[in-house]
Amino acid sequence: MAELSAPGKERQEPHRDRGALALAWFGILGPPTAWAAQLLLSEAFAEVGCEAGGFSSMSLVLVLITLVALAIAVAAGIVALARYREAPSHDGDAARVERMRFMTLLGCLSSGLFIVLIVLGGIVPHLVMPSCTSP
Amino acid sequence: MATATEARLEEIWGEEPGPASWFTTGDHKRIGKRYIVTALIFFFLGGVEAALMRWQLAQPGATHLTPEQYDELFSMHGTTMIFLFITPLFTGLANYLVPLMVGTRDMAFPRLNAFSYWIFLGAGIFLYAGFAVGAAPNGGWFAYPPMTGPIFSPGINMDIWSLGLIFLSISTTVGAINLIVTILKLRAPGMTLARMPLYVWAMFVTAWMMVLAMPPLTYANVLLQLDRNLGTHFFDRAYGGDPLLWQHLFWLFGHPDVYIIFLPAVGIVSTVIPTFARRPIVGYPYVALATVLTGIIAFGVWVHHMFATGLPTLGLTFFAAASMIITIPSGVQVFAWLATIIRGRRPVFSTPFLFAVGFIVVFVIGGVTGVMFASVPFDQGVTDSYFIVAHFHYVLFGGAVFPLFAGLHYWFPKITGRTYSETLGKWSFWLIFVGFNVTFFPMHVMGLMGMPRRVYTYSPDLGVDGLNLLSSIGAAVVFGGIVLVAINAIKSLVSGERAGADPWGAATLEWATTSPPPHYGFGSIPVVTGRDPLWEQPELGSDLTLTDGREILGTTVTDAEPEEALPMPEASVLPLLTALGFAAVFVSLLLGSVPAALLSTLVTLAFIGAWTWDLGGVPG
Amino acid sequence: MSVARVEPRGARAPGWWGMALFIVAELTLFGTALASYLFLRFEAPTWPPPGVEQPDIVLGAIATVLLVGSSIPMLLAERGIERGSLMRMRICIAISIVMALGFLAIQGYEYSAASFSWRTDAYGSLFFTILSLHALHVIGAVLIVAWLEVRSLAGHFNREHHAAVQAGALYWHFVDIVWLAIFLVLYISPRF
Repeated sequence: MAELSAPGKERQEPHRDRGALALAWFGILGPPTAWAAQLLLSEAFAEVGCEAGGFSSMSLVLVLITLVALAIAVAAGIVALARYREAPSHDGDAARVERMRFMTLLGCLSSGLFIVLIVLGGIVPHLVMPSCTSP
Repeated sequence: MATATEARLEEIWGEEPGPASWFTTGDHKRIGKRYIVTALIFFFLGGVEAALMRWQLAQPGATHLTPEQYDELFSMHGTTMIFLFITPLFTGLANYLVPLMVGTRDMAFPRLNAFSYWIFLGAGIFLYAGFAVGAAPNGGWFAYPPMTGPIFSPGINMDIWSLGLIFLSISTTVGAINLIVTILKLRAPGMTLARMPLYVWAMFVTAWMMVLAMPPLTYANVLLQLDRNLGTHFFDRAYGGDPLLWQHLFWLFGHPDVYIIFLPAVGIVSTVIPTFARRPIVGYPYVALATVLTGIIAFGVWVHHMFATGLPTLGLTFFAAASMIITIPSGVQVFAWLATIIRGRRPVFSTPFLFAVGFIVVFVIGGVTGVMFASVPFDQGVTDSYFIVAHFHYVLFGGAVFPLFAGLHYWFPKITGRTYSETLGKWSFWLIFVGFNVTFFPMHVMGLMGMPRRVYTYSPDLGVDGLNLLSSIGAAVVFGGIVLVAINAIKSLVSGERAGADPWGAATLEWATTSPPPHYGFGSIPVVTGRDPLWEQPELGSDLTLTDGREILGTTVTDAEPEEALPMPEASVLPLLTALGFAAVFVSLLLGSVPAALLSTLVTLAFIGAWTWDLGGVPG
Repeated sequence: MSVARVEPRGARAPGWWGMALFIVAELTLFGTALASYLFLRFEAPTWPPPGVEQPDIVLGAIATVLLVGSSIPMLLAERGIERGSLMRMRICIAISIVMALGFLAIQGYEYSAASFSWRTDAYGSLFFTILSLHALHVIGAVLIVAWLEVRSLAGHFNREHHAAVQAGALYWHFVDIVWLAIFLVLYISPRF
């Protein structure tokens, strides 16, 4: 029979724990958030710009949005990769270490996919498409 | 022979059989079963609607149905299958399974759970009331204005549809919140996020998607009601409105909705395949992440339903890109499942396993046509033809109903305590698999040959007569297969062999209980040290039994460390009364009576007040 | 062994999570509403349309101060019950209710004084629908916290047990914050 530890057991270094957890979540959710913002803002600016008829100044804004989104996705990936490679601290318990590795692995993969998506969705269309035509 | 602990728990959690407890129960297992049975009844109704349509389309120029009747049938078929069958059924299954799989005794809010079922039942009856008054919804399942606006749809049909869906959205939202809180706060000690069963991951992501996707639909339906009945101009170009506003709002909901349908199916397949391949799933982190990312990216592709509306090309390409990328996580999952089968021992070819493999075949075909649609030029050629009808049936029937049948067979012994007939199961699988492909594969060709969708008949000049006839024959075969499933279920319920706790030798916690589980679920709070508890741990229980009252254990969000004992509410009729109050509000709105609506609102508020009062300090 | 039986505080209580998630759904609803406003706005050549006056920014600002300001007594009410002071909680909630009613009165005046209705055009439809949607939520929040007052008179709350108060206060703050977004989009942005 497993004995459940009493509640309120002191957590070791609670502040570092909370920071590490926040970074782990940033790794997983940062890239999609950046992509979502890039998608919505680009779509809004593209539609508004095309309505107003002037694409050229708007294109600078679109490039900027894409670069910021890309930077966030890359940053999240770097953070996740660094944490994933870090040797687990010896005083962490096995479940927490396993969970942290899990989350940081997910962060690396999430970042990778969204970097591709941001580039594909944000940069390639500008190179390929004539801007304000309608099919 | 029940131990003293078990007897005490039965005393606390047990319910008297009989009508009174039927109306007051908050037991997740009873509510789950209720959802499943009700949703299956709607499945049958949706199937009858489909059968009637295939009968009409079997030959060109047929006159079995009038155009108006045909409109009502295809509108209600889509609405029923999506809103009243598949999502409530997966919700009901989750209701039953998630608390057991995470090792707790009920959902976080049992009364809210009961309430969400009653609303679902009420909304379903509301939507079908249209048939009773000869005014069933007839604007399709996506209801585009101006056709569904006040000028072109003057009858009550579309009011039934939009009010009915607003009504239903209460159930969906509240049910989703319940699932999320259950999964975050009630997992067994040791079940960190890295050890959660993939079915639980799937339901977790699905529930979040419901919370975020329902509001755009509800808002759109409110606007439609206002345009139809109060003279507003949201969708009216002449006054500054825009019909495309509806399309954006609807598809902002509608695309995530198809993943709300698909992800629970993914969760089922990720559970069934490892059991019968007799090894843990290959690539657990990849499958978990794929589930999360599919759910997220699903919110960024909605414009692909609008490629033919004249939007500027640049905007379309953002969504075309995302629509192509979203296939990557799905592909990863397929590879994980295949790898699990290949690297496992010789698989057990049980009925659930057959349906899971059948799903992979059919879903991949549907996914391939889906990627074709991500290409704007191709989409503009075939949209609104039978090619799209083929695609979405492959991903919805193939992608959701096959896993559903896998899951229903898989958990049948656990839920009913009986085993089903494998012979009947295998026959029903082959009939459904073959029938399905005979019904829907020809539709790809029909679409490419120019047959539009949503037509009550077609010209013999199109050259699709034979294909339509073939498709209708296939539909009859599918119907036969489903009838066979029903026979199997009923026969087994009545005279099937009794099932043990774990007939499949599966890994997740629900198989640690008896079949069916007792009212209290687990005798002691289980402790988990890995992803496949029943395969990895000789000893599952702990010394914590929580027998002082109706209590469950609350744990922390990321690592499921024990926090405190949480009191659970007693059974109550208030959820049912509150749901009836809401029903009265919506009926009043449909009939256009402001006094009745106000009165019903006051009565509903009174019931809600009584409900919160009755709980005292207990959340429920 | 036993597990603590105190009521989980704040962020750890399931009821808090339930309210927080409900608020997420509501935020999405309002976000969608404001997006629909911006969508139709950027399709229109002029906004507001010709013949329609700009929203009264002075009245709007007063209403904003009243409503957003009412979050302060609500915070004090929460702090009060956390210390076990029922009197402080009741008084502060009452103040918040009065301020919210003031907000609703101003809104009501604005509706009646407007030269256009929701039938005039899409601008009118959006303006009145979004404002009414929010006003209904204010009424809802008032009913929720008023009910909390009644329950507190029946002795439902004390220092250890007041999760419902926290949930109700959270909803109140949400209604106030959302108003800020609505004020920005409906009252201020048309001037640019």
